[in-house]
Amino acid sequence: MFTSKEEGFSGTTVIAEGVHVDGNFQGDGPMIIDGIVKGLISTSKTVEIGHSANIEANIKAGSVIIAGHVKGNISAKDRLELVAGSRVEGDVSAKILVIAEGAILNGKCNMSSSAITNTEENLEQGSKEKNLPKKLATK
Amino acid sequence: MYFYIYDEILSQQKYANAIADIETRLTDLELQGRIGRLGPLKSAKEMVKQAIRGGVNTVVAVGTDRTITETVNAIAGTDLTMGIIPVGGESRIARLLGIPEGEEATAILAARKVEIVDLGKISNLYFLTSTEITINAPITLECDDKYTLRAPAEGSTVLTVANLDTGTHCQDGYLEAFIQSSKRQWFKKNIQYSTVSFKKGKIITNNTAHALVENTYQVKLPTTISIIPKILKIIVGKDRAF
Repeated sequence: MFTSKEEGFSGTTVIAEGVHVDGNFQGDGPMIIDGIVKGLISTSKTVEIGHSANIEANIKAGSVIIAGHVKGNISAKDRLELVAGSRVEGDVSAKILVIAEGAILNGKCNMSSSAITNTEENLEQGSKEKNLPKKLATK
Repeated sequence: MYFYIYDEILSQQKYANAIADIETRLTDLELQGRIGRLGPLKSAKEMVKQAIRGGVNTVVAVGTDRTITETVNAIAGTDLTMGIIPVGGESRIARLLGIPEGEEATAILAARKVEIVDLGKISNLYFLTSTEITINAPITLECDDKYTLRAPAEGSTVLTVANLDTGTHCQDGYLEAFIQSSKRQWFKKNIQYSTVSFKKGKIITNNTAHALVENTYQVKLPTTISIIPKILKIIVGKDRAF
């Protein structure tokens, strides 16, 4: 949906603090999110969730860096990093996982490649059903 | 065969010399053609219809961004190629297409480097560069029937939807939305920017507001906006922004 750098647009999608996004927020380029997102976030590149961000969405991306608050499952194909002060309520799967001192993770963690594939499938299915994390949707 | 659409303001005496120089240069370059002048009772659409019947293959807008936009709307979707000679004030559209002002633009016309570009469409109006909305109320952009983007109600918000601008490309099949929103933090106002790209959308607000298209035309909100890929053949300069 979002264009790549080769096609002309700089490619980075930016959601500033205070801006609300609702729905299926998909892209091919990098994303920087400081606002509020409800639904699904999906890209093959990096997603950066800023300090002021408030996310109620499943995240599926190449790499994910979290500094804010995420309520939802996260699947990173390569790397997931939770920086100090971040808070994740949901299951996570990634090839490489970095959790800094002061970060909070409440959920299951899986680092096997098959688990990443399964989580990706679950994320897509869960989001189609209710645009909510699967875990939250079943509550 | 060329057809020139002159802006209404070019009949003013102060532009007489500039027009004479341009016409002389066009004759030297063997690019002369018929001339139509815009006026209250003469639209570019009618002129273009007649020009097509007369076997014209290139329509040149001579004038300001208003003339260019009117000509774009008249020839979009036809087989005609469009040229531009900016006269009567700085033209943002011409600058982004790498076309210099006045007589110098005739060299670009003669070189005839043609690109096929996308056009944005807001309501029923085509635009080549951008459309802007400045509003002091919440504004929502629905994108591709997939998600909505809601700018905060605090302070004023500027929503710019661009097809061609610095950093955007008018051949990629997407529109880029830039949202400049402000957030109050104690006594200072923090300006923040959001950027997304999309193909079709809807701009919604509860307040009475207008979108300013190409800094020229106004379109009332709410309205639809979309990208129409590869719909205009246009002559460009080498210093173009894409």
